[in-house]
Amino acid sequence: MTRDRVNYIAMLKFLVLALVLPPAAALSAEMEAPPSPATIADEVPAGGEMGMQDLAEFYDNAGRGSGAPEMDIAPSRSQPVKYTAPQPKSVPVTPPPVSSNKAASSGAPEEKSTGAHGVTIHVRGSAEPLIFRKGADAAAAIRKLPDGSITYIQFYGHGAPGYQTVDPAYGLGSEDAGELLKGKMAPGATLQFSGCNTASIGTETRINPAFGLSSITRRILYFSIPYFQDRFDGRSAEEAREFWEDAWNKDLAQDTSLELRGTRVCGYRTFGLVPERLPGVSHLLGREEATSPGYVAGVRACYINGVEVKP
Amino acid sequence: MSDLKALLELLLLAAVPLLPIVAGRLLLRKFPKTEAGQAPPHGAMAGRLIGNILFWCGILAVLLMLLFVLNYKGVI
Repeated sequence: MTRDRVNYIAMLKFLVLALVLPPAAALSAEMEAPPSPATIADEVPAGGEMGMQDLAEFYDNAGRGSGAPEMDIAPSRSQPVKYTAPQPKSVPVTPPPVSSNKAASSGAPEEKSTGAHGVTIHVRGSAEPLIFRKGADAAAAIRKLPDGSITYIQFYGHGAPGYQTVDPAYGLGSEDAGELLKGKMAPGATLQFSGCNTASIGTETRINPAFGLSSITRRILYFSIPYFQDRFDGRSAEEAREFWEDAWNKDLAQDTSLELRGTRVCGYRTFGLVPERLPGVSHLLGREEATSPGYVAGVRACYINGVEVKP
Repeated sequence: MSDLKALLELLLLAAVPLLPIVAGRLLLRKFPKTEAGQAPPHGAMAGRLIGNILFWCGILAVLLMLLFVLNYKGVI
C-alpha cells in the first residue's frame, strides 16, 4: 500500500521534472562540447525576437550544450513572426550533390556530425535524385534549376509548428519555401516537410492514443512552457496568450501550399519518430548522416492550394 | 486569471498519461490475485485484465511522452 503510493509520487515527480525543466537540462550535456557563448548568441535574433524558427533552431542546438538560459523571448509580440534566412558564408558555384548517405569528406579535418538531415530533390528527366546535406547548398542548386523541373522535394530535419530546419544553420518557414520554390515545381509535384509538427493537429477526431499524446506534448512544449517563459520575462498575459495560441498549432504545410499553387505539400501533424534515429540504431545501420528519414512513425497531412487532400 | 488557466491546463495535460495508470492500479487492487485452488470472485478475471491493460498502457504513454520530449530536445 505504502509502496504503491511512493511509486505514484515518484512517477509524478519524474514526469513533472521532465516536462517543466528548461530545455537545456542535463540530458543535453553529453553529446558534444558546448559551443562558445558567441556561437549561441549569434543564433539568437537581434533584439531578442523569438518565434517558432528560434524554437526549431534551438531544438537543433539543444543537444549541443546549455542553450536555453541564453535564449530570450521577444519583448514585443505585436510584430508578426518574421524569419530572415541565414546567409551562408560561401555558397559554392556548383553545389556538390551527395550521392550516398554519408557526406563527402575530402581530406579536411573531420567535423562533429550534425546528425541526420538533408534535402532530396527529384528533377524531371533525371533518374538520380539530387541529395544535399546542407540546406544552403540545396537552396543554391534549386535557384539554378529551370522552372517547372522539380517533381519531388523533401526537406528532412527538425520541425516546429510553422517552421522546419534542414541543418543547424538553415531553416525555412512557409514564405521562405514559397520564395525559394516559386516556379520551380513541376505540375503535380510534391513538397514533403519531414520534420515534427510541420502540419497542424487538424480537426479530425482520432482514437489513436499516440496522436493524443503527441498533441498534448505539442501544446505543452509550444504553448504552456513558452507562455510561462514570456510571463517570467514580464510580458502581459494577454499578449503572451494571444501570440502562443496562434503559434503552437501553425500549419507549415498548409501555409506553404498557399504559396506554391498546384503543388502538393505534406507535413506531419504529430512528432515524427524515426526509428533509425534512435541512439545506437543509427550507428548500427550507418545512418548517422542520412539525408532522408526512412520510416517515420507519425501522422502525415497533405494540402493542395490550402485544401487538405489524401496523403 | 489567464495564468491560472494556463497553469491548470498544464497540470491537467501533464496528468493525462497518469490517469490510466491510477485507474489500472485501482482495478488491480480491487481484484487481487486469488490463491491457488481458490475460485476467483465474479468478474475478477475481466477486472484484472482491464486493470493490467490500463496500467501498462499508462506506463507506455508516459514513456512515449518522454520520448517526444527527448525528441524535442534533440537527444533523439
